[in-house]
Amino acid sequence: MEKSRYFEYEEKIKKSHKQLKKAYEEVRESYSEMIFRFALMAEYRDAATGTHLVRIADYGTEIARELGLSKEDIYSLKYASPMHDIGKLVIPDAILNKESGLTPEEREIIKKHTTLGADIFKGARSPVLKTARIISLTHHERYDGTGYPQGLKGKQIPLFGRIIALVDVFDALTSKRPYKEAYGFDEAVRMIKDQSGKHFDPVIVKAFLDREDRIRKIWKATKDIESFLGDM
Amino acid sequence: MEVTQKQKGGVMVCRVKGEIDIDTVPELKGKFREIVESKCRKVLLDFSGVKYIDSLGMVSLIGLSKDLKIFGGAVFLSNLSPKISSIFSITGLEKVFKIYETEEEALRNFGGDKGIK
Repeated sequence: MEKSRYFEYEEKIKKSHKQLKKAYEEVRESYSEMIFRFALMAEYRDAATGTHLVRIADYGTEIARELGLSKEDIYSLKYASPMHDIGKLVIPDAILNKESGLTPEEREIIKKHTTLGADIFKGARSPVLKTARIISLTHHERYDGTGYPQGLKGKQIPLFGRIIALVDVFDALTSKRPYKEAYGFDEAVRMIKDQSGKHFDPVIVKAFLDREDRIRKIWKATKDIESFLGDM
Repeated sequence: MEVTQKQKGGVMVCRVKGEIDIDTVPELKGKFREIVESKCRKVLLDFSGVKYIDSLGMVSLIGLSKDLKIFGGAVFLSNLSPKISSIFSITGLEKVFKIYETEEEALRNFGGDKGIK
């Protein structure tokens, strides 16, 4: 092939590649936006603000990095984790917002948010939505097999589910609820540590503890945001 | 993360590029400190190149806003991508910061404004 023609083709391929990459990034940006807005719909029904969603993403990212997950897996976890409770969209308000005294039947209905969430993402093909399906379905499983909906045990629980199980509980412990005050950071960390090998995978607990300083910074930052918004 | 600065009619325009997160926030805070110390009171943060902002990043913006407010200044934001815009929505910060679609629109609205709603 003539040398100048070769360079011409090379330039064209480079240009097309650049355009494709840009288009791919735009599509990825758009669905990342949809994910956050979609997740907020579920969140608004049982929480005061969506800072919980950002915290879950930030805490989860820290653990994923400590575990040495790939860049793509960290991206999927970051954007899928806010959708862990998306199944709550289909749980009746009267049950979801009940402050106390849930009947055993009502508890069972609430537990269904895991499988209902997974159903929403059934057949999804993008890595983020596939991850969202896994997280929705498995974030209430426990390492010792006493969780729901499937009672999976140990490594039967997908890694993403094991990570979000811990950060969701940690966030619940450090958040105020209508029926309880927020635990302090150190006390919540101690409670997580106590559940190593029971509720949580010891490997995930270790990764969490190894990043305790950074987790504390995220925890403090979101408290600062909430207090700033509260003062406005 | 990269920050480039340019003065435009009494407003310090900062173009931020990359991820604003726990690892890059110390650098960003350093830039913000320099801006406040340089006595610049009107700051526009152009976010067209921002890919992600985490909790610590948001706190750094709040810090800058508070520091400027003490001196009667303000911070505006422009060119947020749909994703970043959704993060501001879900955290409630979109109600707090003045956010404009373009840099030009933000600069037009800067005169005498406080930046915080």
